[in-house]
Amino acid sequence: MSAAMNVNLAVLVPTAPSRTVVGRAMHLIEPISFWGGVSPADGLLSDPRSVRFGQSVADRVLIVRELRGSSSASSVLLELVYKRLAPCAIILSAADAILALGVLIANEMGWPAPGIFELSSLQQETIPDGAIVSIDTHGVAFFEGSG
Amino acid sequence: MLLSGLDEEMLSGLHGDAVSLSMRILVQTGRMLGAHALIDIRSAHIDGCLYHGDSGALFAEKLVSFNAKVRVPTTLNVGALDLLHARNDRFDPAARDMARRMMSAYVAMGCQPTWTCAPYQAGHRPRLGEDVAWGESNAVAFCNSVLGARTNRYGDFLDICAAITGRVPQYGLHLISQRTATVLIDATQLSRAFLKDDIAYPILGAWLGAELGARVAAFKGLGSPSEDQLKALGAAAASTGAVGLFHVIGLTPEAATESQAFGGKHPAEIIIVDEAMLSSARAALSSIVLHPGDAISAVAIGSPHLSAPEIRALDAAVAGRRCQVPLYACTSRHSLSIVKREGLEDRLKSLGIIFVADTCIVVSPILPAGSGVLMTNSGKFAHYTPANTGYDVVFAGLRECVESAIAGTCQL
Repeated sequence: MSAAMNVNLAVLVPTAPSRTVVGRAMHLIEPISFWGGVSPADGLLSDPRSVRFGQSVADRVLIVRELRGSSSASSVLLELVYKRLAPCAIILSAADAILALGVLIANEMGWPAPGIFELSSLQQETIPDGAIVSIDTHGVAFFEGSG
Repeated sequence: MLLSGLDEEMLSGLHGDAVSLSMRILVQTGRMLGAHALIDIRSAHIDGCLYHGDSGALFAEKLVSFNAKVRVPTTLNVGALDLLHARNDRFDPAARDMARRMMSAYVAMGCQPTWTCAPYQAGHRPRLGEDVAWGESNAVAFCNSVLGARTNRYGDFLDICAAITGRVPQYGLHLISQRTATVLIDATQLSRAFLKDDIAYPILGAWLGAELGARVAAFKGLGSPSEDQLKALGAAAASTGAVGLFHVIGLTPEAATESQAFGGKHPAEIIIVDEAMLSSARAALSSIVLHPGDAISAVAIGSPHLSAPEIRALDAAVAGRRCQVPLYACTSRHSLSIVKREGLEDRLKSLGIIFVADTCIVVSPILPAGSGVLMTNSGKFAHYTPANTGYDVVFAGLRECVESAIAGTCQL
């Protein structure tokens, strides 16, 4: 049975400009470093070892279980924002300063940027991969789940 | 978050637009992380000067247009261009121009043009207990672990904001309580012969990063690895994991004893590591399996950048023989200036070694276009080569790397 569900996300950095965003959920289960993991040239997942190699993060509600590696993740995200290839929202399992910086700098540059949200990895699993998710300005995520 | 009078002044714009922008970023980041205050830093190392696309250059130029100047001694990590050897990359002219503009912008802000991911081997060595703001994951791991200075893993852009204000949020590895180990890595099962070989350290690091994520570990029974071996361990651990600090009991400055390393507490977890456990970490550092005699396209060493002793070790391994495939030796202009005086640069160049300074082969399009097989002794190169260059990678020790470059085929 599918049912309308919602879950409250903690807002780490709000969507800018403030608005409700809608996108398809994309789960990244393996630990990812944005630098080396996502190409800033085209927004495609670029690590041949990733199960989602070659897929695009653009306009997705990107659900990330674990971040790793490089401190250049902020640069990669800023470049994706600049090229309009960024996810429409990023949901992390724990606050992360490095990725959020890409969005904070985009805000200073006046470029529309995704919000960064936090949701425990256990609760992340309630959002089905591929589901259409909308996230309002308070961080409430609405989606069709199996209820 | 409690701001000092000076913080408030900086935020208000009294000290100029660059300072207020930087302070806004620091305050937002600090609040997000639950920091209670900002603290002073003594120095900074900037990773944000590497070109990933025009956006970062435009941000740096915005800061310059606001007349930004760093307030603390600040070194620069690699840029995208080898400013000493201009022929070395395949950037298109527009991208090269933007990369150069970006590098110039950071120098215009008063940063020192060190262009290295091993600033700690180019004269920038913070003291034990100093708070600093360093970017670049391997530099952070070395700074915390080997020098005992205190930095978080600062992301691109926060590093320059910290340098411009001289402030960082008080959280994470700036707090003594966060610097003690929780995981004990018992390495006493590893043979002395294994630990004597340089190849042990990138493998141990790659295993550690995958095992730990961001937790702090202390090694017991590791003996006394050299500075370059600890550098290799930290770089690999910060590639496969988010390791910003590790201790080696009896060696690193915050771990004179096991009790000091764990802050007087018991380890939350003890892992007894053996060579069998490391063999899968080692295998994961290669993207393909090569057999002796199989063709290779190139060899690359020097991530982190080679120190002068590592260039001397390369010279000894090459022993006057000529390379059949390119051997890229990535290093800093600082180390290069040292070995140049010893005549090593010219000798190695004449034998087919290509020195890459100021940058490296996984951050800049230096390897010949297309695909191929790269051999390396660096855990960090091994980790990032497939995604960043399109090449397959084979991990091996320095000796095997050099012998393969000389033969032009895999010599494992």
